[in-house]
Amino acid sequence: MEMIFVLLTLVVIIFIGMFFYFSFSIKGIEEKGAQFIDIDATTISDSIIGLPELTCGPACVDTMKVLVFKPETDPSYYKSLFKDGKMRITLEKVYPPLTSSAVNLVVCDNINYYTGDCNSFIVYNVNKLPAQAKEIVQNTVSLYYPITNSYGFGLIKIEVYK
Amino acid sequence: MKKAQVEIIGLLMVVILLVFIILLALWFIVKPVQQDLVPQRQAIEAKSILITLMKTTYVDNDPNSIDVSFKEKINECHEHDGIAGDPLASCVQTIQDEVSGILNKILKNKEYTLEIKDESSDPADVFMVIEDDLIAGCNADNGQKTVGEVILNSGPLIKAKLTLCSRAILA
Repeated sequence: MEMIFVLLTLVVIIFIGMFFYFSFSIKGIEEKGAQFIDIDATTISDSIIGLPELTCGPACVDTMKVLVFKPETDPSYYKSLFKDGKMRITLEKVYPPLTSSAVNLVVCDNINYYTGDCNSFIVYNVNKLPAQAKEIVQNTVSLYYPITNSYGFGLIKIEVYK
Repeated sequence: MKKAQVEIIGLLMVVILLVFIILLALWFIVKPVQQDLVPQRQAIEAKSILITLMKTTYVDNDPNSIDVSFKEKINECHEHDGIAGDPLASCVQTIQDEVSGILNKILKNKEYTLEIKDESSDPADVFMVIEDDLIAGCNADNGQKTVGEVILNSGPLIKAKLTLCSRAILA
């Protein structure tokens, strides 16, 4: 009788221990997963800034090159860079601010770029999934404007959809 | 108390102790790795912000002014610092406003201090400070401070130091 009671207690304690251990493990795996997404996104961000199609030097992106950069038109060429493609990559100009009274981000196109009334560039966006939880990684980058030969302070934002 | 009961309680205590020791060991294995990554990342982030900031073209409201970078503007301002009657005497405040505007936008949930020092004169003499008020509360218990540094002028040695705190501010 005592033996059975001892074994039962042991089993219960082992289960409690296993519960705590796996809780720890799952938490650790989730954190590692988030870290990998973070590292992956940082690598992609550095690779984009270094692309000959876009770069204008270390940590610098030529905005005029971004305007004509359309990686979606040649997905096989950029497959190694964007992998499964569940992400959105944008460039945001933080400084100088817009001359117009617009508060939100205005995406640059072939018209408003030349008037200076825009502050955001979409580099890559092939996420066709509905809105999902996402990780956002951002890095600072210099935005070069060849028309005025000036540099803006920008952010490269990578939104990875889980 | 029966002998069997004593055995059970003893065994129970030994197992509980073992479980705690294992959990504690796991905690020590996992925790230091995560903490080591934070300052490394933050130091890179701080340096990257400073490099980008110093390269950025300073936008002057004066239409006759020539476009210069923040780095050149700070150096120019430093040369004219303290000269009475100089039109550039107020440039420190103007640059501080512009830089704090940028830092507040990009470091929304982070505490920071940006110090620009002339290290060739008195090291305690800070030429320009842009500070988030809460960073004074950042310490080893609730966050870690990391510093990114860039040299702005090697003539009169001017350095920019950006200190970031790892704890996040609740919005």
